[in-house]
Amino acid sequence: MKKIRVAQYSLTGCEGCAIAIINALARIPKLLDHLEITTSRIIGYVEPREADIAFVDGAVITQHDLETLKEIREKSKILVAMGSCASFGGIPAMRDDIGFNEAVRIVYGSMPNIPHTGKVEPLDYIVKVDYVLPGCPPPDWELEIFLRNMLLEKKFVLPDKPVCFECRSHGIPCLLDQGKVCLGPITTAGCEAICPLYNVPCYGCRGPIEELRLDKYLEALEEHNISSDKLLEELKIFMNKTKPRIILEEGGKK
Amino acid sequence: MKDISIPVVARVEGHGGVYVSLDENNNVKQVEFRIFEGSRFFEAFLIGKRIEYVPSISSRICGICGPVHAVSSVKAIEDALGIELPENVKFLRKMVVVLNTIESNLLHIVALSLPDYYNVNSLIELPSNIKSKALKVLRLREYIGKLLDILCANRIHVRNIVPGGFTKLPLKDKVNAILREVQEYTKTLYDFTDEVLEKMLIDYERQSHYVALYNGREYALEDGDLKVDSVLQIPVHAYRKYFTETTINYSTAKKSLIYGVENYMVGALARLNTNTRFIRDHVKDLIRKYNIKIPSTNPFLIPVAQLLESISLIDDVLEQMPAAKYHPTRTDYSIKRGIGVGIVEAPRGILYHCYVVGSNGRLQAVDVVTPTAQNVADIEDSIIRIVSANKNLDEKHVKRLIENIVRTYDPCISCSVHIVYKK
Repeated sequence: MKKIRVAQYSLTGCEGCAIAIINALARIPKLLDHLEITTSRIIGYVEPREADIAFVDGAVITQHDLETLKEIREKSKILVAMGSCASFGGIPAMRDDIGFNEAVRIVYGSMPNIPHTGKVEPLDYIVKVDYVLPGCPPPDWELEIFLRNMLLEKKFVLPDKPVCFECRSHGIPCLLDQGKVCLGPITTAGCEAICPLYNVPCYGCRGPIEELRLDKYLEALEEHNISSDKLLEELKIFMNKTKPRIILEEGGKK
Repeated sequence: MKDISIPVVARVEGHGGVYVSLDENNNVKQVEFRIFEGSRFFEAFLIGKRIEYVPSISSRICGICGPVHAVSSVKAIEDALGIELPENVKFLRKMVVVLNTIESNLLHIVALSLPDYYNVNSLIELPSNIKSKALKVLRLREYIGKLLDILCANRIHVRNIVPGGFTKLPLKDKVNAILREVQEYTKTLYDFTDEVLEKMLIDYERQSHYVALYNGREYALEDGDLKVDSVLQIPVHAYRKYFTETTINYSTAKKSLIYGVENYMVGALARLNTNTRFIRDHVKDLIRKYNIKIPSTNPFLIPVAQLLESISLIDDVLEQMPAAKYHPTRTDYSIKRGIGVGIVEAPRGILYHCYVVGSNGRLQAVDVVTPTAQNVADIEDSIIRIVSANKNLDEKHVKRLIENIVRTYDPCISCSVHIVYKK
């Protein structure tokens, strides 16, 4: 069997997704028999090289990120956006609400000579993305299923249901009933509802579900006496650049 | 020799390079450890956030030491609000820091440092007998990770750490089942140590200042005062009086100095120097057997210090965790205005979070200093001395030495960026 050439890149982020890949290789050392690592700074190969699959984590924040991403796209058959930052902006996108110049003023006073684009962008704003593995970090098992599918030349699809389904199947008491703002009803499942399992509301790190029914969700929140302000505040953690927030804010302006 | 440029240093976490300019006699004019990782501006967007969201968001500063960021963050909040934690919660928080330190140390030793001792580019290229022993240590690391997964919902970014305690804790039986796996795999670390430790011992001396937590009771990782060169003791609230930061134009991280003038080192070697007497006896035996001089002024011994403290800390975990109590999970608190500091030993050294909490329960000011930001000046100083002492070597060798010295510090660049002093 021919080895699949895999590249791993980190743009601006925490590199937890790179660690998640290393963890998967440590858990299933056999994978190394089927994969050839062509590029990974953390594994020791810095140069961008031709690959069958490129995993890219982090968001596009610097000029260097932007140029690297375009080069990665040219050199990779399949490009995977890994993690919330790469998939839809995630945590660093919170900065766009403050604005680049104001953030610089608060943190540095004057900006070091490192060219930033002034925006926080997920990968698909810049290049074509073939798959997304969202989550902060993406679940271990999903990464493993993804790699297995690729080895078998099968497509990979994300679950098309919200986190609520997994919560219910694990018998976890509904956090909305406890008056907490839980984004479970509008967030892509696949995480096995790990946060509600630990009694933490879902903050939406997997991004919104495809078949978004925001009106139904808003009705449910109203029934639980949860204000849309509270909802908006929570959407501003991971879901800054996603549909639910955009719709909610535009709705508010009318 | 012309100026030396290493655009990207491999096998470190984050984007960094080194630039050394030389005069006609090959004397070092200037060294820049350039960090060009993009800025995410955590200390800007954390302002205004409700305190219960803050530890979880802070965890996202770093993918390697996320759990420790969450603990440092929550300590700052609890300090500001005057929250007194139940004893079992204190203990479990400490375990989060211990486990994260072991996990990160093992990754650095095996995947990032080890290839240097065998002159190869990657773990994948190691001689097969070494590689198989190294992969087994990664397996042990996997079980340490599983302990963190079950304790904090996720080893990379924790979910359940909130002001006052944990939102939920696992069942004791589940934890103890994983502890048995850790116990079983611990011998892989001894095998590895027998095979590799001698090779990790590189002769070199370079005096610096060494800063670590100290509490006189244990190998301090999450509670204590700051101890400088095992002599001066500074309470954590006085951190900013002794340690200053300056902006540098070639880096998104700032440079930290002690007393406003001198570079210093934080991390495993500083910890081992400061807390030698609290490591396990059989680890002290190793130090004697291999004739390792502690306290040490040799930066190349950082991975050795990581290995020695990990062996000792795993024993602490195996001894102390089976008796841990998982109730209560948290304590109640009331919101008031306050300022608080949370200092812990992250895997790479002193991590400082300082917040002003408003009477509305939201952050009003944020100041974070990470270990790597503190080590930047020390790394640059080490590079100057290494290059100066090896002027006669060819460029390829000098580059290799520079990369080796940078990697020995295990810089965590994602962490260090923009985690800077806020006026």
